[in-house]
Amino acid sequence: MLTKIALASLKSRRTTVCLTLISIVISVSLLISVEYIRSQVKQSFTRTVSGVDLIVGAPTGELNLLLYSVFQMGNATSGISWQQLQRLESNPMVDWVAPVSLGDSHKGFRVIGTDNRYFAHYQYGDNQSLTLANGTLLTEARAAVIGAQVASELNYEIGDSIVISHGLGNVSFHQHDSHPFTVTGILKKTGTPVDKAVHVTLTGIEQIHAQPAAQRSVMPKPPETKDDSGHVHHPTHDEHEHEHEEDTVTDADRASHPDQVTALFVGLTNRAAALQLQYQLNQRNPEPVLAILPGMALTQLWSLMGNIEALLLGISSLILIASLTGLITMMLAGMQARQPEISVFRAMGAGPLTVLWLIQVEALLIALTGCGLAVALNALVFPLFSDTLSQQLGLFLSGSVFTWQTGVIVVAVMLATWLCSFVPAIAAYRQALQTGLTHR
Amino acid sequence: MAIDVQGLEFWYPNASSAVLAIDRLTVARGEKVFLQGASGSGKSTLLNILTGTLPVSRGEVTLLDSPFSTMTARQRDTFRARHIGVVFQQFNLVNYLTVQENIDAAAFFAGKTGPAVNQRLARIIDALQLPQTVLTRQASQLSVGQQQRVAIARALINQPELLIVDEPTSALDAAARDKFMQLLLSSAANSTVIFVSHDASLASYFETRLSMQELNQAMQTGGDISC
Repeated sequence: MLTKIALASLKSRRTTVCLTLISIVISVSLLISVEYIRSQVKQSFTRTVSGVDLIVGAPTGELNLLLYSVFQMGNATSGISWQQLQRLESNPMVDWVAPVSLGDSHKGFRVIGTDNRYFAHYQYGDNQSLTLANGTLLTEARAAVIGAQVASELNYEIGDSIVISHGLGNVSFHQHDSHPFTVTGILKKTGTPVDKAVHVTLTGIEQIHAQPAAQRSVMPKPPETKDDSGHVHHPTHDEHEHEHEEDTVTDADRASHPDQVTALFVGLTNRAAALQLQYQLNQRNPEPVLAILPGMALTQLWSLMGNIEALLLGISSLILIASLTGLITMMLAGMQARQPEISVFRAMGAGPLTVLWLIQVEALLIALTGCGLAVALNALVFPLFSDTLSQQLGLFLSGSVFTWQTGVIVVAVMLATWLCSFVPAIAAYRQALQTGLTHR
Repeated sequence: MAIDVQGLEFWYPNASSAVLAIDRLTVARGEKVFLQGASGSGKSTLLNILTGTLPVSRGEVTLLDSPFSTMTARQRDTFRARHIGVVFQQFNLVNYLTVQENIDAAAFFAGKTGPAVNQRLARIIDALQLPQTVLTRQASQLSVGQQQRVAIARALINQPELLIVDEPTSALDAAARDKFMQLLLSSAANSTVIFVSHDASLASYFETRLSMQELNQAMQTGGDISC
């Protein structure tokens, strides 16, 4: 009955109640969306790579190795030898090793030189493997498998020719245009940096960097053996490699492997051995290398953004406080006008505590409705704009907004409302104590 | 005894003297009492004390043989809900509630719900010659005549043994006033009624007539006024 009275009372003041409700919906929506986006970004971030137990690269900072090998940000300081890959392959603790060679780009998208082991073992999210939307994997030396975003932004299709450039900038003076690659596969969208990568064979990378300087489109290749991104150049390679351009990768790329690669993704037979192998590689390896546990490095990297998280939540909470203050103000302002009504309830036998509860029920009903509408709004808006968010902001949203975090927010808002509602409720209680039956 | 007031005094905080002083007032069960008083004579204060929304400053009030003045505020609220019905001057229905909700609220505050209340409501509505359709209408949509009857229905829903009626006819013309009085007294045949008004012409409906001036004088003279 108290709820029925409270509902009718709110209905009778629908204009002010609606305005208050709108402010609560906005603030709770904001709070839910910030928390949802934060958790989604964190989830997406920490699951950028999930099937890899160790990443091995040249000695550098842990975060730097993670950034250039997984997020394609920054540059490698140097490379690691092919012998290191072979040593790892022969280690009984190691199940598989996938090499990656970085340092080239295509129209602003980074090029990853690798082989099909990368596609077989690299996982993201909840151990989801990379899958093709179209075409085939690296079946020939000049094959290229491109990420979903590369394909959509550059309108590439299977069979298109692409030319990769030396270096990582959007504009490069080193165009390997005499050795184009052919797009043989387009990966499905992953929501990870893989979407922005052009994957080519290690053989192909070797071939384009092994060509004579005269064949370079703009500038001759300098005689260096590696560049500042760890990309390895092989002046000893010559044109004979071009004769094998159409060889299949599985045989050919193993046969003509590079001397160095930028990093190795390593999978173990037993994940529990990751720390042990990491220690061995970092402390006792004949060649100085750095091995990192990607999960730990990702968490460490995310923790650097903790202040931004706190700031966003703080701003949203302030907005919520402003809304709740508005709710209390609205209820307090209406209290004087409700004195006759309170007199009538008192005359009918309602005690001051009942009046207090009535005011609290009204506040809680507004907050509950606001929370319900806010959750519904988020549940509607995010799916509607998920494509735009992924395309414009690279923000991949998955899962429902009906998470336990949303539940915690709703409960917290209800609790805060209940506490805040004591202000008008106590005012009503005092009014009820002082109000006689004959208020006119 | 329905009402037994002894040595009652009431004064507001920081006031220099009592605004109400009644040496003795007794009303028998089932009695219908007309209480006349000019503005400022203490009528409202007495009604607030009899309904328990104001505590006495001194003296004793016994209602329906219960020590009303020594009860806690919560006990008085419960007692009022269960045993006392009130009809206001302006009827004071809650405008945003329907007629049914106005009446149900009174039953709810008295802790009375269920089929028995609904049956009683049907009987009261019938006795007050209100159509069933009026139950779903909002109080603000009712005519004055309908508001009167709904106010009586609300006051009677808990079968109060004591009915306090506060100047309900002040806004009515003579014909409407007569009709209202007949309706009220017939509906509350089994209750003790305290009818408060400044309009002396209504006294003819009651066998027992009191004035606030007499009650306050009784305090001064130390005499009893019994009904």
